[in-house]
Amino acid sequence: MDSKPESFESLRRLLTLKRYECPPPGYFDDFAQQVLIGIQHRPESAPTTAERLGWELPWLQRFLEILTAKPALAGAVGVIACGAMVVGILQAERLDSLTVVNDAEIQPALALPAGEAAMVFNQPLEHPALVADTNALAQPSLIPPEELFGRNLPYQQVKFPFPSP
Amino acid sequence: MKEHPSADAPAEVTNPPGPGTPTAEDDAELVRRTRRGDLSAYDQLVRRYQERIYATIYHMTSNHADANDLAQDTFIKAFHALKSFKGGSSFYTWLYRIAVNRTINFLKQRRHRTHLSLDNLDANAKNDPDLVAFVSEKTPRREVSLTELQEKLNEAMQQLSESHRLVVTLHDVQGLPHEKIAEILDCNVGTVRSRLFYARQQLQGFLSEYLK
Repeated sequence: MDSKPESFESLRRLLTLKRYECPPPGYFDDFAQQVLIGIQHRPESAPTTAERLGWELPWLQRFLEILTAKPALAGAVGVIACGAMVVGILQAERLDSLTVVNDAEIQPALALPAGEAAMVFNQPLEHPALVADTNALAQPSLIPPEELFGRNLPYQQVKFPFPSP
Repeated sequence: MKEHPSADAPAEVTNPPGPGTPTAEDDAELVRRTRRGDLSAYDQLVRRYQERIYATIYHMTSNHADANDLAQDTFIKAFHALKSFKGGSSFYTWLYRIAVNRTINFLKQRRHRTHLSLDNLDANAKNDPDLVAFVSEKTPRREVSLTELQEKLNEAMQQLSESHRLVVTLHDVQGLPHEKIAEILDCNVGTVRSRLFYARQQLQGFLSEYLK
């Protein structure tokens, strides 16, 4: 851009004038002291979150400035963000409904009479409805567990006497 | 505020010249001590950078009182934010960012009430070879005084946008290299160069009466 420095030579010389602008004599003698007094007595001068963002995440500040300067762009970004959220919600609902359908297909097999259910438990799971699931890692198992957490569970048959009316 | 009175081209001021020059290691040690609550360490940091931070803000505002308030505010904010300083850049660069952000925010708020309150010119200005050459050879108005030139120059600077004034201040007045300015402003070097070119063009237009 500034491939022709000679074209700004006069301006550059004039700008050297600014280097000679000096604050009043002795100004810097107690400047540091004033700062230390300010640190101790002006807690309100602590940087705000917005100010911290300004120097720690300058790109974010620039983005917000652009949005502030161009309301139409801010509106477009808002519409895109809302649209993305709606699509996300719809997608999540679609996945949920697919899961419900699969569960409904599995349910009749579980509702078989006790004798037939025992047969089902002893058969290999060939019916696709029994193995279909959206979660590949957790295939449904209709075989009752013999062990829970690696331990044989003792069981005891109980009878509850019901008082006659 | 004579960073480079005799330099032909802006020279880097990121590392102040001369023996006893403060190094990044010195700064890091002073920052560590300040974090431990040693205010004398922060006092040293303030004394080390007060002139350059003040100068940057002053050249942006062209107002001594505003520059004084903003420079103090910058150091106070930097002290409170020191815990979040991760050391990804030098302390000086980080401090510059705070000063620049604070100043630009201030300028946006006072956009329509610019009041110049210029610092006096150092007596050595009359002997600067660049200025002598400028006044005696370049300008068609040889009767013009340095004080008048100073006023016109500051008025022209105030007509630039904040971002353009900033690159002129950092590069042409303070002598920072493009790369350092890009680091401070968190943009690429090409952006700095293009802003500088555009700002110089504008300044040349504003000061055409003095730059024939």
